This record gives sequence, C-alpha cells and structure tokens, in this order.
Amino acid sequence: MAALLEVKGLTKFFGGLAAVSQLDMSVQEGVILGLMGPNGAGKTTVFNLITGFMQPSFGQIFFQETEITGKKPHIVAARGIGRTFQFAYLFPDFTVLQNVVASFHLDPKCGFLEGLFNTGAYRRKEQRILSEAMEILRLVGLEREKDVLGKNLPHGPQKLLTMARALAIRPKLLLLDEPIGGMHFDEVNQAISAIERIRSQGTTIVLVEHNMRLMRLCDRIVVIDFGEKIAEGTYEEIKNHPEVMRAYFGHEHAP
Amino acid sequence: MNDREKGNGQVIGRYGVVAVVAAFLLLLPWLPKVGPYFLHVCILILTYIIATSSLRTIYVSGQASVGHAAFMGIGAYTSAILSMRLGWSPWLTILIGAAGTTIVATLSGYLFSRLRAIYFSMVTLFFGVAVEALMRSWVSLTGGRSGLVGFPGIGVLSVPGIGEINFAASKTPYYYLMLLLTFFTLLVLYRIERSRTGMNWMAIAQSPLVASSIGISETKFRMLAFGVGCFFAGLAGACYGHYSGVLSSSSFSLMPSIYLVIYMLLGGMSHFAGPVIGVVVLVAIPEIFRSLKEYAPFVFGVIMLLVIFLMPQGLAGLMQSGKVWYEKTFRRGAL
Repeated sequence: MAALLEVKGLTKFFGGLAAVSQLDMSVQEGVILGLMGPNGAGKTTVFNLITGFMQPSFGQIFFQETEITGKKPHIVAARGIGRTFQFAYLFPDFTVLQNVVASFHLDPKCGFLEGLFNTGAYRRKEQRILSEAMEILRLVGLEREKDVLGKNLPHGPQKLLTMARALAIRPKLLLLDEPIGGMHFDEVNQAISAIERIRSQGTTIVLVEHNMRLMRLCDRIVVIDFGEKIAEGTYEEIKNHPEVMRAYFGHEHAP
Repeated sequence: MNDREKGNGQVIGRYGVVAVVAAFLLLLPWLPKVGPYFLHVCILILTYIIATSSLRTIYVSGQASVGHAAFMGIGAYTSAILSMRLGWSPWLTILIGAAGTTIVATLSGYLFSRLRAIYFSMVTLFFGVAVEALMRSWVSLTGGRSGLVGFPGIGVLSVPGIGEINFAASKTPYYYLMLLLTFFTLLVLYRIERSRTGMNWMAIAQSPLVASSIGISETKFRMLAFGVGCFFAGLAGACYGHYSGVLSSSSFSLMPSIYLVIYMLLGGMSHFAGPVIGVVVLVAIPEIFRSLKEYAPFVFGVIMLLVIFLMPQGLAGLMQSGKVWYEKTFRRGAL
C-alpha cells in the first residue's frame, strides 16, 4: 500500500544552517507517527514545510501520491492536511463554537451568493455545520465552554480547541505540534483520549512531542537531530537506541 | 437571541421602532420647515453612510485602508467623464463607474493583499494620494485644479405608471434615490457580513496564520472585501458627482479618506450600525456649528482622541453598554 504522506530528501536552509537535511519519511494510512527530537532539531520546520508555511530548499513532498511541494497553506489544507501550532493560536474574538465553525469553510457549496441571499439550502447547511461542530467539541471535551470567547479560555482548553479546529476541516492527515505542551494532568488525559478517538475514526496523525506518555501511543517514531533523521522504529526500539540517547543526554546511557 | 425567544412585546417594539424610523425617513421631504438645504445635508449624510459602511467592510477583513475617498473619486470621475464625453445616460455611467472602481480595487487589492497591518495602510494612503494627484494633473481629462464641470445631472426619469421624475427641479428625487441606495447597500453588506464570507473575513483579521491552516485563502478573501467595499464607494462617489454637478480632486484627497475613518471609529467599528451613527453625528454637528467651520479639523482631532481613550467601542458600543447597564439595574427580575 502506498503511503499517505511521503517526504523525500527534504532540506531547508536558514542562511547557512540546515534546519532540515535530507529527511526521508513516510506515513502509512491510519497510524500515529511520532516526530521526536531535542529542542531545535527541526521538528516544527518539518511541519511548516509539509503544510506550505515554508518553502523547502530541496526535496519533495507527496500526499496521496500527488506532489504538494511548495503549495500554499490553504491549498494544502484543502487537500486534507490539518495542523495545529506549537502555541495555542486561535481566533481570540470568536467563541469556542465559532472557532470550530470557521473551519467548515472548505465544506462544499458555501458560496458567496448563497450566503448573500441566505437561501434555505444555505441555512440548512449552516444548521448541519453547527451540529457537526458541537460533535467535534464533545470529542475534545469542550462542549460546555462553547460560548466562551477564545481569548478567555485557559491555556489547556485553548490547545484542545486548536485540535478541534484542525479536526473540523475533516483532514485525512492531522499534524499536531506539541498537543499537550503546557497542559496540566487532567487536560493531558483529555487530550490523549481525544487523540485516541481521532485515530479510531480513521484519521492519520503525526505528532511532535517530548512527553513519553504520548510517545507510547505512537505506532512508529522518527527521531531527528540537527535536521537529520537519526533513528526510526517502534517505541520499544527507540527507547534504548544509542543515537537517541546521545542526542538527548550527550552519551549512550540514560543518566 | 432570535425573535422566537423574545417576548411578543419586544418583537412588536422592535418592528415598531423600525416602522417609525422608516416612515420618518420616507416622509422627511414633506415635513414642515424641511428646506432644500436640510435635504442637501441629508443627501450628504446618506452618501457618507454608504462610503463609511463600505469602508468598515474592508476593515472587517483586517485591512485598515486610508484611501477610501480615492475610490469614491474613481467612481465619480469615471461616471462624469463618460456621461460628458460620450453622452451616455448617467444611470448607465453610474453603474459603469461603480464597476470600474471595483475592477481597479480588485487589481490593486491583489497587490495590497501581500502587505499587512501598517504596511497595508501606508500603501493605500500612497495609492489615494497618487490617484488624487492624477485627477489634479490630468487636466485634459479631469479639468485639473479648476475642477470638472459641465457634465450632465441625472435629469428627467420617466417611470411607467408614475410619470416623469425631474431630478433637476428639486432635491427630493435625489434624496429618495440616495435613501434607496443606502438601504440596498446596508442590506447587502449586512447579509455578506453575516454569511460565511463575513466569518472568513473576521477569521483573517484575527489570525491570517490560523485562517490559512483551515483552508481560507487570505489573498482571495482580502481581495473580495476590498472589491466589495470599493464597489459601494464608487457607487456613492458617482451618484454624488451627478448630484453636485462639479467635481474637484480635493474632495477625494487624503483628508476625506481620514474623515471616513473617523466617522467609522466614532460610531464604533465592531458594530454594523457604527458607521451610520458616526456619520449622522459627525456630519450633523459641523452643519449645526457652521460658523466655526475653520475649526472642524481641530474639533475632529479632539473627538478622535476622546473616542480612543474613553470609548474604544465607539458610540454604538456606548449604546450597547448602556443597554446592559439598564437591564442589569432595572430589569433584574426579568433576566
């Protein structure tokens, strides 16, 4: 079976520094792939290159066997790649529900003229979108906060909301950048159960994380350091991999 | 809260207010003591309401344009020159003027959409200044500094069933025309803002980064907002040109553009009714204190500072908080 996402020889220079260098990576459909690496290893850059927020210096990216290298972010999103950011970026003046509803822009037949004339079909469609958005909020456990403004949410729920928003474009591939960064214990549980449920609905996930609890969820882990892939395998294989130990701790044994 | 959730009294009250306002606006030219000068001010107010509301549409998409009057000018000059040189009916040239403005705005909006925030504002400001300079210097086409005169007014309109309406004889037909156009403009802008297009504009205004990650094309929707906003600016400008019968480039320079921004900010940018309130208050006040006209920029400056420091939500926001205060204080039991 062909991979859902195929990255070949991906390279990105910032000036003379190679933030990502000759990265090959493939993501099979239905898996959770973990992208791991010390700070500054280039994980977020890989996300930005895949989703078109940055242009690669060299290399190619294929999604569903079509090349998407260098496409604009909104086109990549329309092809079916959703993403969150390392920080809880959201629409601060929209309510929680509106934040998710906004993501239904890609839903077909949301035309300018239908909206202008407020046709019956348009209203029914917006009704359906509202109920689907509520469904997604329930999935991440934010249904009770639906009328709170985005900016008034605490950090943890904000990050859950960004996950809901990315999920609302109905992506085939979901890229989560540190989905539990800065969360407290209960919120982490909430996030992990949401991620498990997203996977069980058939969405492929790539996530960047340092947290080992989350890494255990991954079917496969890719470890990068200084932009280069240093290891790939299951959680068990990676846990005691000498290169990974060296990258994280400076020597081959856990301290 | 929609109508179904409200009490009957509230719904009747709201429609009652709308009916009274509509009746007042429709009967205005026939009220006692309403002379041509009063109607002239009303026509000005309606023109500025169209211009300011359409400017707000552009701001809703996160684009702080400071060159809106230039687009009114493009509409006005296009319509006036076509009707004068080619002898076409002003009804047709007004539409061509508005359409031409939209084309210019969409093309320039595409270029401007690469810039955000203050850089966008600066380039719209330069664009506005450049357009005004062009109007002033292209003497053979625009009449230059002495202004453009001699183009036809709307003249006589024959409507089957009603008879002939002579726009030249009194200001009343113009008043009704502008009232109709204002109603049409506000309706269209309101519907767009409440639709998904408006939601996308607000999303881009809040975070272009997040908007693009959920598939909203920043370029496309910013161009659309700029095009829609400038269409109505061109329309207002073209109508105003045929109404006043003389065009001067200074009517479309930087200062008028800034006045439009001030009307909008005083009324309250975050409310749809904001521009309407801002224009009514700020066009009416200088007319009342006409003898102090030289001090108008100074007064506007002071008003601007007061708005920014005391009521950043504008007059519409003030009314909103007044309503909340009233309901909290006097209708606690009802809530």
